[in-house]
Amino acid sequence: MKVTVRYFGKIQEVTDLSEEHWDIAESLTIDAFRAYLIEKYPALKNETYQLAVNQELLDLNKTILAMAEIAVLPPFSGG
Amino acid sequence: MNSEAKIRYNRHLILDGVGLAGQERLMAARVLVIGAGGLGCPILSYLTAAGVGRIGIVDFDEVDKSNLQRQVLFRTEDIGKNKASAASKHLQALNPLVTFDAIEERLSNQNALDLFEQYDIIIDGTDNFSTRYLINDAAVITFRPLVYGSIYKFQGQVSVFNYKQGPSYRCLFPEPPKPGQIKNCSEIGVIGVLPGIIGTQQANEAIKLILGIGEPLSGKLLIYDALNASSTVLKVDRNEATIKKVIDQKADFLTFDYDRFCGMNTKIESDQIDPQDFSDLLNDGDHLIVDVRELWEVPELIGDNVLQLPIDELKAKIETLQTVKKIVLVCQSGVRSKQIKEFLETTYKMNNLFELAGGINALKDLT
Repeated sequence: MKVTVRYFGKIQEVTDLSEEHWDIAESLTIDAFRAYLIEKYPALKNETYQLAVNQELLDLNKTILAMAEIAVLPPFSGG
Repeated sequence: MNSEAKIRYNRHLILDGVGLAGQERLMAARVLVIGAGGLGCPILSYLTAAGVGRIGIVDFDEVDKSNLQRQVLFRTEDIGKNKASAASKHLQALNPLVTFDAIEERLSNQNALDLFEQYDIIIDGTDNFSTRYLINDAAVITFRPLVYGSIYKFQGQVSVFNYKQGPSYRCLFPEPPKPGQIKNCSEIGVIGVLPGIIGTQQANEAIKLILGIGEPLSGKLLIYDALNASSTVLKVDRNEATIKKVIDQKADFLTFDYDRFCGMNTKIESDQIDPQDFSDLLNDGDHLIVDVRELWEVPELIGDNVLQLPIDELKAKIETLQTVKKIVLVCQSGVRSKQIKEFLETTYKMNNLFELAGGINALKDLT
Protein backbone atom coordinates (compact mmCIF):
# COMPACT_ATOMS: atom_id res chain seq x y z
CA MET A 1 0.00 0.00 0.00
CA LYS A 2 1.06 3.56 -0.58
CA VAL A 3 1.68 6.10 2.19
CA THR A 4 3.12 9.62 2.34
CA VAL A 5 5.84 10.35 4.90
CA ARG A 6 6.53 13.98 5.87
CA TYR A 7 9.60 15.12 7.77
CA PHE A 8 9.96 18.26 9.90
CA GLY A 9 12.76 20.30 11.48
CA LYS A 10 16.00 18.50 12.19
CA ILE A 11 14.63 15.21 10.76
CA GLN A 12 14.64 16.80 7.28
CA GLU A 13 18.40 17.15 7.61
CA VAL A 14 18.80 13.42 8.23
CA THR A 15 16.50 12.34 5.40
CA ASP A 16 17.53 15.17 3.07
CA LEU A 17 13.95 15.62 1.92
CA SER A 18 10.69 16.98 3.32
CA GLU A 19 8.33 14.39 1.92
CA GLU A 20 8.39 11.00 0.22
CA HIS A 21 6.02 8.26 -0.88
CA TRP A 22 6.51 4.71 0.32
CA ASP A 23 5.05 1.43 -0.81
CA ILE A 24 4.83 -0.66 2.38
CA ALA A 25 3.12 -3.79 3.76
CA GLU A 26 -0.61 -3.63 4.55
CA SER A 27 -1.79 -2.71 8.07
CA LEU A 28 1.55 -1.85 9.61
CA THR A 29 1.57 -0.78 13.27
CA ILE A 30 3.27 2.45 14.36
CA ASP A 31 6.04 0.44 16.01
CA ALA A 32 6.68 -1.58 12.85
CA PHE A 33 6.74 1.66 10.88
CA ARG A 34 9.32 3.07 13.30
CA ALA A 35 11.54 0.05 12.67
CA TYR A 36 11.16 0.56 8.91
CA LEU A 37 12.13 4.19 9.29
CA ILE A 38 15.31 3.37 11.22
CA GLU A 39 16.26 0.71 8.74
CA LYS A 40 16.07 3.29 5.97
CA TYR A 41 17.70 6.11 7.98
CA PRO A 42 19.92 4.54 10.70
CA ALA A 43 20.85 7.99 12.05
CA LEU A 44 17.23 8.46 13.17
CA LYS A 45 17.90 5.98 15.95
CA ASN A 46 19.58 8.78 17.87
CA GLU A 47 16.91 11.40 17.20
CA THR A 48 13.89 12.35 19.31
CA TYR A 49 10.62 12.60 17.40
CA GLN A 50 6.92 11.81 17.50
CA LEU A 51 4.88 10.21 14.76
CA ALA A 52 1.48 11.44 13.65
CA VAL A 53 -0.80 9.41 11.40
CA ASN A 54 -3.33 11.39 9.41
CA GLN A 55 -2.59 14.49 11.51
CA GLU A 56 -3.12 12.67 14.82
CA LEU A 57 -0.25 12.34 17.25
CA LEU A 58 0.47 9.61 19.76
CA ASP A 59 -1.52 6.48 19.35
CA LEU A 60 0.96 3.65 19.40
CA ASN A 61 -1.54 0.86 18.75
CA LYS A 62 -2.83 2.52 15.68
CA THR A 63 -2.54 0.65 12.41
CA ILE A 64 -1.44 2.53 9.36
CA LEU A 65 -3.85 2.22 6.46
CA ALA A 66 -3.36 2.82 2.76
CA MET A 67 -3.02 6.44 1.65
CA ALA A 68 -2.09 7.48 5.19
CA GLU A 69 0.01 10.57 5.78
CA ILE A 70 2.66 10.04 8.45
CA ALA A 71 4.42 13.03 9.99
CA VAL A 72 7.81 12.67 11.69
CA LEU A 73 8.02 15.53 14.16
CA PRO A 74 11.01 16.49 16.34
CA PRO A 75 10.78 19.07 19.15
CA PHE A 76 12.03 22.62 18.40
CA SER A 77 13.73 24.71 21.05
CA GLY A 78 14.53 28.06 19.45
CA GLY A 79 12.91 31.33 20.39
CA MET B 1 -13.32 53.25 30.05
CA ASN B 2 -12.10 56.83 29.69
CA SER B 3 -12.19 58.80 26.44
CA GLU B 4 -8.44 58.39 25.77
CA ALA B 5 -8.87 54.59 25.92
CA LYS B 6 -11.97 54.75 23.74
CA ILE B 7 -10.02 56.53 21.02
CA ARG B 8 -6.96 54.31 21.35
CA TYR B 9 -8.92 51.06 21.18
CA ASN B 10 -11.51 52.27 18.64
CA ARG B 11 -10.78 49.50 16.10
CA HIS B 12 -11.41 46.88 18.79
CA LEU B 13 -14.52 48.64 20.09
CA ILE B 14 -16.17 48.65 16.66
CA LEU B 15 -15.15 45.03 15.91
CA ASP B 16 -17.70 42.21 16.28
CA GLY B 17 -16.40 39.74 18.86
CA VAL B 18 -14.44 42.35 20.84
CA GLY B 19 -16.44 45.51 21.50
CA LEU B 20 -16.50 47.36 24.80
CA ALA B 21 -16.90 44.20 26.90
CA GLY B 22 -14.00 42.50 25.11
CA GLN B 23 -11.71 45.50 25.49
CA GLU B 24 -12.50 45.61 29.19
CA ARG B 25 -11.53 41.94 29.45
CA LEU B 26 -8.19 42.72 27.75
CA MET B 27 -7.61 45.63 30.13
CA ALA B 28 -8.30 43.41 33.14
CA ALA B 29 -6.03 40.58 31.91
CA ARG B 30 -2.60 39.77 33.38
CA VAL B 31 -0.14 38.01 31.08
CA LEU B 32 3.38 36.75 31.85
CA VAL B 33 5.79 36.58 28.90
CA ILE B 34 8.94 34.54 29.51
CA GLY B 35 11.78 35.57 27.22
CA ALA B 36 11.96 38.97 25.52
CA GLY B 37 13.79 37.62 22.47
CA GLY B 38 12.77 36.69 18.93
CA LEU B 39 9.34 35.40 19.98
CA GLY B 40 8.94 37.75 22.94
CA CYS B 41 9.30 40.97 20.91
CA PRO B 42 6.23 40.46 18.67
CA ILE B 43 4.23 38.87 21.51
CA LEU B 44 4.91 41.88 23.76
CA SER B 45 4.33 44.47 21.04
CA TYR B 46 0.88 43.16 20.11
CA LEU B 47 -0.28 42.51 23.66
CA THR B 48 0.77 46.04 24.62
CA ALA B 49 -0.89 47.63 21.61
CA ALA B 50 -4.05 45.60 22.31
CA GLY B 51 -4.18 47.06 25.82
CA VAL B 52 -3.63 43.98 28.00
CA GLY B 53 -3.81 45.45 31.53
CA ARG B 54 -0.72 44.01 33.15
CA ILE B 55 2.25 42.41 31.39
CA GLY B 56 5.13 40.69 33.18
CA ILE B 57 8.38 40.29 31.23
CA VAL B 58 10.94 37.76 32.47
CA ASP B 59 14.44 37.95 30.97
CA PHE B 60 17.83 37.87 32.67
CA ASP B 61 19.73 38.44 29.42
CA GLU B 62 21.18 41.57 27.85
CA VAL B 63 20.61 42.91 24.35
CA ASP B 64 23.38 41.79 22.01
CA LYS B 65 24.11 43.29 18.58
CA SER B 66 23.32 39.93 16.93
CA ASN B 67 19.78 40.04 18.46
CA LEU B 68 18.80 43.08 16.38
CA GLN B 69 18.38 41.00 13.18
CA ARG B 70 15.03 39.77 14.56
CA GLN B 71 14.29 41.19 18.03
CA VAL B 72 12.49 44.23 16.67
CA LEU B 73 11.65 45.91 19.98
CA PHE B 74 15.27 46.89 20.56
CA ARG B 75 17.36 49.74 19.17
CA THR B 76 21.07 49.80 18.57
CA GLU B 77 21.55 51.96 21.68
CA ASP B 78 19.96 49.17 23.81
CA ILE B 79 23.00 46.90 23.34
CA GLY B 80 24.21 45.81 26.76
CA LYS B 81 20.95 46.68 28.55
CA ASN B 82 18.76 44.10 30.26
CA LYS B 83 16.07 42.90 27.83
CA ALA B 84 13.15 42.92 30.29
CA SER B 85 13.70 46.56 31.26
CA ALA B 86 14.68 47.78 27.78
CA ALA B 87 11.54 46.11 26.37
CA SER B 88 9.24 47.57 29.03
CA LYS B 89 10.64 51.08 28.40
CA HIS B 90 9.82 50.89 24.66
CA LEU B 91 6.45 49.23 25.30
CA GLN B 92 5.47 51.85 27.87
CA ALA B 93 6.06 54.51 25.21
CA LEU B 94 3.79 52.55 22.87
CA ASN B 95 0.96 52.31 25.41
CA PRO B 96 1.02 54.26 28.71
CA LEU B 97 -2.23 52.55 29.81
CA VAL B 98 -0.46 49.20 30.36
CA THR B 99 1.36 48.28 33.59
CA PHE B 100 4.66 46.43 33.12
CA ASP B 101 6.61 44.26 35.53
CA ALA B 102 10.19 43.97 34.26
CA ILE B 103 11.63 40.89 35.95
CA GLU B 104 15.39 40.85 35.38
CA GLU B 105 15.83 37.29 36.56
CA ARG B 106 16.33 33.84 35.17
CA LEU B 107 13.13 31.81 35.55
CA SER B 108 13.85 29.00 37.99
CA ASN B 109 11.95 26.50 40.08
CA GLN B 110 12.46 28.91 43.00
CA ASN B 111 10.56 31.85 41.47
CA ALA B 112 8.27 30.21 38.89
CA LEU B 113 5.25 29.19 41.01
CA ASP B 114 4.97 32.54 42.83
CA LEU B 115 5.31 34.42 39.56
CA PHE B 116 2.80 32.30 37.63
CA GLU B 117 0.19 32.77 40.35
CA GLN B 118 0.24 36.54 39.78
CA TYR B 119 -0.87 36.20 36.13
CA ASP B 120 -3.77 34.63 34.20
CA ILE B 121 -1.91 33.41 31.12
CA ILE B 122 1.71 32.33 30.61
CA ILE B 123 3.49 32.70 27.27
CA ASP B 124 6.65 30.72 26.49
CA GLY B 125 9.13 32.66 24.36
CA THR B 126 12.27 30.92 25.64
CA ASP B 127 15.06 29.29 23.66
CA ASN B 128 15.96 26.06 25.50
CA PHE B 129 14.38 22.77 26.52
CA SER B 130 15.27 23.02 30.20
CA THR B 131 13.20 26.21 30.67
CA ARG B 132 10.41 24.92 28.42
CA TYR B 133 9.87 21.84 30.65
CA LEU B 134 10.11 24.01 33.75
CA ILE B 135 7.48 26.41 32.35
CA ASN B 136 5.19 23.54 31.40
CA ASP B 137 5.36 21.93 34.84
CA ALA B 138 4.87 25.23 36.69
CA ALA B 139 1.87 26.01 34.45
CA VAL B 140 0.38 22.54 35.15
CA ILE B 141 0.91 22.94 38.90
CA THR B 142 -0.58 26.46 39.04
CA PHE B 143 -3.38 25.61 36.54
CA ARG B 144 -2.39 28.39 34.15
CA PRO B 145 -2.97 28.15 30.40
CA LEU B 146 0.32 28.19 28.48
CA VAL B 147 0.75 29.64 25.01
CA TYR B 148 3.70 27.79 23.51
CA GLY B 149 5.85 28.72 20.51
CA SER B 150 9.23 27.54 19.27
CA ILE B 151 11.28 27.77 16.10
CA TYR B 152 13.86 25.82 14.13
CA LYS B 153 15.58 27.41 11.14
CA PHE B 154 12.60 28.08 8.79
CA GLN B 155 9.88 26.27 10.77
CA GLY B 156 7.85 27.06 13.87
CA GLN B 157 5.47 25.31 16.26
CA VAL B 158 2.56 26.94 18.12
CA SER B 159 0.09 25.46 20.61
CA VAL B 160 -1.99 26.22 23.70
CA PHE B 161 -1.35 23.88 26.63
CA ASN B 162 -3.07 23.31 29.99
CA TYR B 163 -6.22 25.00 28.76
CA LYS B 164 -9.37 23.55 30.27
CA GLN B 165 -9.07 19.77 29.76
CA GLY B 166 -6.42 20.06 27.04
CA PRO B 167 -2.97 18.44 26.85
CA SER B 168 0.31 19.78 28.24
CA TYR B 169 3.70 20.09 26.54
CA ARG B 170 4.75 16.78 28.13
CA CYS B 171 1.76 15.06 26.49
CA LEU B 172 3.33 16.05 23.17
CA PHE B 173 7.01 15.49 24.03
CA PRO B 174 7.30 13.44 27.26
CA GLU B 175 11.09 13.42 27.23
CA PRO B 176 13.56 16.09 26.11
CA PRO B 177 16.00 15.28 23.31
CA LYS B 178 19.57 14.47 24.22
CA PRO B 179 21.82 17.50 24.81
CA GLY B 180 23.16 19.06 21.65
CA GLN B 181 20.76 17.06 19.46
CA ILE B 182 18.48 19.98 18.57
CA LYS B 183 20.49 23.13 18.14
CA ASN B 184 19.11 26.59 18.89
CA CYS B 185 19.17 29.82 16.86
CA SER B 186 22.51 30.98 18.25
CA GLU B 187 24.15 27.79 16.95
CA ILE B 188 22.48 27.26 13.55
CA GLY B 189 20.86 30.60 12.76
CA VAL B 190 17.24 31.52 12.08
CA ILE B 191 15.49 33.54 9.42
CA GLY B 192 14.66 36.82 11.18
CA VAL B 193 11.01 37.07 10.17
CA LEU B 194 10.11 33.57 11.45
CA PRO B 195 9.94 34.42 15.18
CA GLY B 196 7.89 37.45 14.07
CA ILE B 197 5.31 35.14 12.48
CA ILE B 198 5.29 32.55 15.29
CA GLY B 199 5.31 35.16 18.08
CA THR B 200 2.42 36.99 16.43
CA GLN B 201 0.47 33.72 16.34
CA GLN B 202 1.17 33.29 20.06
CA ALA B 203 -0.11 36.83 20.78
CA ASN B 204 -3.24 36.00 18.77
CA GLU B 205 -3.84 32.80 20.78
CA ALA B 206 -3.42 34.70 24.07
CA ILE B 207 -5.88 37.40 22.96
CA LYS B 208 -8.39 34.71 21.88
CA LEU B 209 -8.12 33.08 25.33
CA ILE B 210 -8.71 36.44 27.05
CA LEU B 211 -11.69 37.31 24.84
CA GLY B 212 -13.08 33.77 24.77
CA ILE B 213 -13.53 33.91 21.01
CA GLY B 214 -12.68 31.52 18.18
CA GLU B 215 -11.08 28.13 18.66
CA PRO B 216 -7.86 28.14 20.66
CA LEU B 217 -5.02 25.88 19.48
CA SER B 218 -5.64 23.60 22.45
CA GLY B 219 -5.20 19.92 21.61
CA LYS B 220 -3.61 21.00 18.35
CA LEU B 221 -0.06 21.75 17.30
CA LEU B 222 0.39 24.15 14.42
CA ILE B 223 3.58 23.76 12.39
CA TYR B 224 4.44 26.59 10.04
CA ASP B 225 7.03 26.32 7.26
CA ALA B 226 8.26 29.72 6.08
CA LEU B 227 9.94 28.30 2.96
CA ASN B 228 6.73 27.14 1.33
CA ALA B 229 4.30 29.22 3.45
CA SER B 230 2.46 26.05 4.48
CA SER B 231 0.79 25.20 7.77
CA THR B 232 0.12 21.74 9.17
CA VAL B 233 -2.13 21.19 12.19
CA LEU B 234 -1.65 17.96 14.17
CA LYS B 235 -4.07 16.73 16.83
CA VAL B 236 -2.48 16.23 20.28
CA ASP B 237 -4.19 14.14 22.95
CA ARG B 238 -4.16 14.81 26.67
CA ASN B 239 -2.26 12.14 28.58
CA GLU B 240 -3.94 11.98 31.97
CA ALA B 241 -1.13 9.95 33.58
CA THR B 242 1.53 12.43 32.42
CA ILE B 243 -0.36 15.41 33.83
CA LYS B 244 -1.20 13.61 37.08
CA LYS B 245 2.48 12.78 37.55
CA VAL B 246 3.48 16.46 37.29
CA ILE B 247 0.79 17.48 39.79
CA ASP B 248 1.63 14.61 42.18
CA GLN B 249 5.30 15.60 42.15
CA LYS B 250 4.48 19.22 42.98
CA ALA B 251 6.41 18.88 46.26
CA ASP B 252 9.55 17.93 44.31
CA PHE B 253 9.22 20.81 41.85
CA LEU B 254 11.38 23.14 43.93
CA THR B 255 14.33 20.74 43.91
CA PHE B 256 13.92 19.13 40.48
CA ASP B 257 17.01 19.74 38.34
CA TYR B 258 15.65 20.68 34.90
CA ASP B 259 19.10 21.25 33.44
CA ARG B 260 20.06 17.74 34.42
CA PHE B 261 16.76 16.34 33.11
CA CYS B 262 17.62 17.90 29.75
CA GLY B 263 21.13 16.47 29.94
CA MET B 264 22.88 19.76 30.55
CA ASN B 265 25.72 20.20 33.05
CA THR B 266 26.77 16.62 32.41
CA LYS B 267 30.22 15.64 31.26
CA ILE B 268 29.42 15.97 27.58
CA GLU B 269 27.94 19.37 26.90
CA SER B 270 29.52 20.13 23.57
CA ASP B 271 30.88 17.79 20.96
CA GLN B 272 34.43 18.63 22.11
CA ILE B 273 35.62 16.45 24.98
CA ASP B 274 37.97 18.18 27.37
CA PRO B 275 41.13 16.07 27.93
CA GLN B 276 40.52 16.38 31.70
CA ASP B 277 37.16 14.57 31.36
CA PHE B 278 38.39 11.89 28.99
CA SER B 279 39.51 9.39 31.66
CA ASP B 280 35.90 9.21 32.91
CA LEU B 281 34.78 8.05 29.48
CA LEU B 282 37.38 5.30 29.14
CA ASN B 283 35.76 1.95 30.08
CA ASP B 284 32.36 3.69 30.28
CA GLY B 285 29.77 1.50 28.52
CA ASP B 286 27.71 4.50 27.39
CA HIS B 287 30.42 5.60 24.99
CA LEU B 288 32.35 3.95 22.21
CA ILE B 289 35.81 5.39 21.80
CA VAL B 290 37.06 5.11 18.24
CA ASP B 291 40.80 5.54 17.78
CA VAL B 292 41.19 6.65 14.16
CA ARG B 293 45.01 6.54 14.15
CA GLU B 294 46.93 4.03 12.07
CA LEU B 295 47.70 0.81 13.94
CA TRP B 296 51.41 1.61 14.32
CA GLU B 297 50.91 4.90 16.10
CA VAL B 298 51.86 5.14 19.79
CA PRO B 299 51.06 5.35 22.65
CA GLU B 300 48.35 2.75 22.34
CA LEU B 301 45.01 3.71 23.84
CA ILE B 302 43.77 0.95 26.14
CA GLY B 303 40.20 0.50 27.40
CA ASP B 304 37.22 -1.89 27.27
CA ASN B 305 35.32 0.46 25.00
CA VAL B 306 38.19 1.42 22.65
CA LEU B 307 38.01 0.35 19.03
CA GLN B 308 40.92 0.90 16.65
CA LEU B 309 39.49 1.94 13.30
CA PRO B 310 41.79 3.77 10.90
CA ILE B 311 39.77 5.73 8.34
CA ASP B 312 39.52 2.97 5.68
CA GLU B 313 38.29 0.37 8.15
CA LEU B 314 35.95 2.91 9.69
CA LYS B 315 34.25 3.54 6.35
CA ALA B 316 33.37 -0.15 6.12
CA LYS B 317 31.63 -0.04 9.49
CA ILE B 318 29.47 3.08 9.01
CA GLU B 319 26.13 1.29 9.35
CA THR B 320 27.04 -0.17 12.73
CA LEU B 321 28.52 3.11 13.95
CA GLN B 322 25.38 5.04 12.99
CA THR B 323 23.36 3.14 15.58
CA VAL B 324 25.79 3.54 18.48
CA LYS B 325 24.63 6.03 21.11
CA LYS B 326 27.77 8.13 21.56
CA ILE B 327 31.07 7.86 19.74
CA VAL B 328 34.20 9.70 20.83
CA LEU B 329 36.71 10.06 18.00
CA VAL B 330 40.36 10.18 19.04
CA CYS B 331 43.56 10.78 17.06
CA GLN B 332 47.11 11.94 17.83
CA SER B 333 46.65 15.73 17.85
CA GLY B 334 42.92 16.32 17.29
CA VAL B 335 43.26 17.29 13.61
CA ARG B 336 42.26 14.00 11.97
CA SER B 337 39.43 13.33 14.42
CA LYS B 338 37.97 16.74 13.58
CA GLN B 339 38.19 16.12 9.83
CA ILE B 340 36.70 12.65 10.13
CA LYS B 341 33.90 13.93 12.35
CA GLU B 342 33.00 16.60 9.79
CA PHE B 343 33.17 14.06 6.99
CA LEU B 344 30.91 11.56 8.78
CA GLU B 345 28.42 14.26 9.76
CA THR B 346 28.17 15.65 6.25
CA THR B 347 28.31 12.44 4.24
CA TYR B 348 26.48 10.00 6.51
CA LYS B 349 24.36 12.45 8.55
CA MET B 350 25.84 11.02 11.73
CA ASN B 351 24.66 12.77 14.87
CA ASN B 352 26.33 10.82 17.66
CA LEU B 353 29.91 12.03 17.31
CA PHE B 354 32.21 13.69 19.80
CA GLU B 355 35.94 14.30 19.58
CA LEU B 356 38.77 14.45 22.05
CA ALA B 357 40.11 18.00 21.83
CA GLY B 358 43.85 18.00 21.21
CA GLY B 359 43.98 14.22 20.81
CA ILE B 360 46.30 11.81 22.62
CA ASN B 361 48.95 14.54 22.84
CA ALA B 362 46.66 16.58 25.11
CA LEU B 363 46.30 13.56 27.43
CA LYS B 364 50.07 13.27 27.69
CA ASP B 365 50.31 16.93 28.69
CA LEU B 366 48.07 16.23 31.69
CA THR B 367 50.49 13.80 33.35
